[in-house]
Amino acid sequence: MSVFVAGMGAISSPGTGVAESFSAVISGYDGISPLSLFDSRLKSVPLCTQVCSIPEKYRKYYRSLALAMSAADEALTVLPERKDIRLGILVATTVAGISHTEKFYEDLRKDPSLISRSADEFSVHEPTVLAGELCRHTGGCGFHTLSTACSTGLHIIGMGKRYIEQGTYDACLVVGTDALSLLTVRGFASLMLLDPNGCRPFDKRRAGISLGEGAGAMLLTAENVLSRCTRKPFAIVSGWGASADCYHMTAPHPEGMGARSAVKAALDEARTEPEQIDLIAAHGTGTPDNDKAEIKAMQSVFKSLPPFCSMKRTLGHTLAASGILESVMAVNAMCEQTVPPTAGFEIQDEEIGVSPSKAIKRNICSVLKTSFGFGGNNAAVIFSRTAC
Amino acid sequence: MGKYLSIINSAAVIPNREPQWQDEIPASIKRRDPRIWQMAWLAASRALTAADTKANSIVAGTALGALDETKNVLDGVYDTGFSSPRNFIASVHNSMAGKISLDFKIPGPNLTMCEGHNSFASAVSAAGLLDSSCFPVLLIVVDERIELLDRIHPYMSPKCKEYLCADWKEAAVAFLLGTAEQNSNTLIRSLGPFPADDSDPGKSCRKMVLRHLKPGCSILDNSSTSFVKPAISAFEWLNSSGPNPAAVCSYSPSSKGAAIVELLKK
Repeated sequence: MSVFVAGMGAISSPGTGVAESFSAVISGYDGISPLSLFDSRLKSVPLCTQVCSIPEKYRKYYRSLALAMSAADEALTVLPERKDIRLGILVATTVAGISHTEKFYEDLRKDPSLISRSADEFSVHEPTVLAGELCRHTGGCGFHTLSTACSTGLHIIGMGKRYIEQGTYDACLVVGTDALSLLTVRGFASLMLLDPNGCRPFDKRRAGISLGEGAGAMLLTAENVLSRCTRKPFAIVSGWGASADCYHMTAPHPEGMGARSAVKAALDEARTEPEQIDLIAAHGTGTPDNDKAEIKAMQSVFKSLPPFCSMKRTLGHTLAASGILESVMAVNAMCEQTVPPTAGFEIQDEEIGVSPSKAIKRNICSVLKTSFGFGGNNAAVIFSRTAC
Repeated sequence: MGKYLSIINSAAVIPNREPQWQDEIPASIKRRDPRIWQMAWLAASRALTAADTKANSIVAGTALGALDETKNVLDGVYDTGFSSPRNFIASVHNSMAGKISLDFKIPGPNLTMCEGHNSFASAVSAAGLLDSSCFPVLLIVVDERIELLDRIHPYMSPKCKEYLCADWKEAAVAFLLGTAEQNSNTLIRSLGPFPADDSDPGKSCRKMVLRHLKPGCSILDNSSTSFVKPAISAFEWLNSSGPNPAAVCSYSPSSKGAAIVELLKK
């Protein structure tokens, strides 16, 4: 059976909504700016992408939830009447409410008496709280929360596909969300993975990532739900692949072995040959190791690499949100038949030997999206056009 | 509705029942790795060794992950302005599953469900999504008790206190799962998490049991006193002659969601 992308939603640093975010991606917009949401206590202010336009009605929620709700509501606009539809809510997040609880913890350290007034605030630290809130907000009948670091967003798309195929749900709203937090900024800084000049994916001078925040959402449906939708589906989710490197807790396998097996598993499930892939929306974080290993993995699968791009300089590395947010952009690129450029890329790295594509018009029938995370955790998803 | 999987083997590490549990941990791991990793590692090792087989995939369930490591990162920033990269790596929710895949060479899908008290049910549900080539699946449920939560607990509202009862347990419980076709002696499947009636979650669960599960299914556990209790209840049922079929119900006061894991011996 086919599982369709019926609706999409996004909120990112360059824009609220899919249209604004995609317009930034397709124009190669540089979304990086100095972190101003909180004091990172680092000697130099790190560069990142931050959302400055959370819609008013969501501002009462903690940041990750507000971002998630904004993207989720946009994705659900295509299905205004959801009575009798078994809607599953699947959430991808790495830090959930920590931007809130880390402040609570700091206050608590300064003034232990605060504990009697605000102990309940700690409960938002549990990632499942976010999914439960979204489930009640959207009228879902079940919810699931996944956290596999930076690969989470893509896994949750694959899981949503399988839940629909299994018949557990008629439709799944898959949402990836992460807000900037002191924990992640300082954590990645401690690993010396933040590029002081902002991320430059696949570029010879690349020196790390630029963290970001945002949310992406997709409404996945079975075919029998499409008649209830207000528009034609955007794409089909054709295949999902997942694997573990078994190599190192933070560094990717240098030959991209785990990434390769995730991509091959996705191709197998999609019954798609490598030459049928017209665009790779790469993970492309901008770290020296990741970008090199990712291209090696792709070269071991594809005889000739199709055009590829990274959106990290425009959207930032939004951790668990990145897989879905960038999938939303990739599916939009397929609908617009346009390969996005890679903002931040200027000089080819001889060690990589290939360059990401410039913005070009191209017939795109299938897109491969990849994400890789801590723990050697790899994910790949293939989207196909409904008519090609 | 989740699909039936078979239970090949199970193992548990429950520190308050076996104070010497760390004696089984290799010295290098004991020296380097956080306590919660050690618990998960030992449960995995016991389950895989007893079954004398390799797993192809991992699904973990944890409410808070390595929370002590998160606290250590923040303490470092607040106290000295320095945060340790080791603490940060360990603080990531899927770090336990990543470490186990690395040490036991488990190359397939590696998923970590973070569903509070429903983490066990959510992990069983996720395992049911994997295709047959991914089995056996090593399912691990793990959460630890840390001093910070013990400190916060007395000040929580009565409603919130439910989710961290004073006697809350820490444990790692591992289940090696096969497809129902591979081994059909003991079966497991899950339902939910689903949004529950906050005023009476037990009633919500009973309704779902009546609607979806095998007739005569006995509810083994309907309390929510700790994140790992549902997995411990299932482990104890496997190793006893309890009612058959049976169901372990869980409720998360923080997400207001309930879930059911059905257990069946043939």
